[in-house]
Amino acid sequence: MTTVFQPILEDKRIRLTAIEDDDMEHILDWHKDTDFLMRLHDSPAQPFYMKPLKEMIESWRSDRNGYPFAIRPRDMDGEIAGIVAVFGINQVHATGMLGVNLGRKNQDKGYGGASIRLLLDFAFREVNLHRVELYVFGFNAPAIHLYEKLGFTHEARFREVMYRYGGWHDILLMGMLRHEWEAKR
Amino acid sequence: MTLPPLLVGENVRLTALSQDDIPEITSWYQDADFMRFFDSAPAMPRSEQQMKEWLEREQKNSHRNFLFGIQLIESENLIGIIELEGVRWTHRAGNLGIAIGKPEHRNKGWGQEAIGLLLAFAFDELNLHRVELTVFSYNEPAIHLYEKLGFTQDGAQREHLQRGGQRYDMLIYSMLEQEWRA
Repeated sequence: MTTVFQPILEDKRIRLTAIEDDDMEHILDWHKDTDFLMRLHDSPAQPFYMKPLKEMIESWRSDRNGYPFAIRPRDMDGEIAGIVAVFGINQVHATGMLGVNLGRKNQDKGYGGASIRLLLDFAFREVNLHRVELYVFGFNAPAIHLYEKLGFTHEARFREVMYRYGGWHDILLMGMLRHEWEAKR
Repeated sequence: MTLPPLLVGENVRLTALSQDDIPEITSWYQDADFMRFFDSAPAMPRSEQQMKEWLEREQKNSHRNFLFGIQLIESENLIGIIELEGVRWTHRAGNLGIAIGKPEHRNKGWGQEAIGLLLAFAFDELNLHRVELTVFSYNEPAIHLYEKLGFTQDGAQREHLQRGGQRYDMLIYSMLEQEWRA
């Protein structure tokens, strides 16, 4: 039997799967790393404990307006390398937000770009969104570079919106529309 | 020494809202134009019961949201609501939202005065660094007002919403403390 559609949520290098309870120890490791936390959230970078982390992940998994995935590179034997999600979905206007994080030891290996590509396919072709946006801190140059390479457009710069490392920093808004993604693919 | 008056202007003052205001506020929410300027949610008229529950939630005084009624000083009539919501204390930033209920109360400078009072509250009382707002690209009178007040356009969420079969941007404007003082 031939399949009707191309496979989604996987490519040669990675698979996007459910986040399992067994992944929690790895996820907790990243969430004890303040450098990781400071790139991810504007709340104070306080290392996580297991209980609130589990509650946070559980709230993502049960969120009806979001789809969180475990990033599992094929060369890591099933271990979770990070989380990628489309969340905050507004069904009326067909918009959503993208979030991605990778444990520090899993960065700079191309997993981020590959998983965002798969997620955008899912968001635009499976959830049928019209627009996906993301927020990135102005000091996170490698992430901004990656989003530019993937074809996101700079849409806004929230000036001096966060105070960190003793100074004010901007937060950047970047967005991708469905027709832009389809033209890129 | 005497501190300058807060929350009171020439024509309007910012007040607490009470359950007695609910019938008036509910009447605004029967007007699709009002709802489409204010919110991207479907323009669905709201009942008094829904608005009562909304006000009860707002009144929990979370120190993240500061909601006021806009009252005409002379007649004491409620003409709108204004709020500073989603305050991120760590980064001293918050979001402004304003709505003038009835069409005949717009374009009289009262909204402009109310925003001035709220900015004074934000920068002089809460000691915030940044006040941000969003506005839909089809709301031209509001955009004109924000620019007149000195807000800077930070950018736009392109094609953020769909109304009447067409997609529109949501514009982001902000004012920083040093810009307010200048």
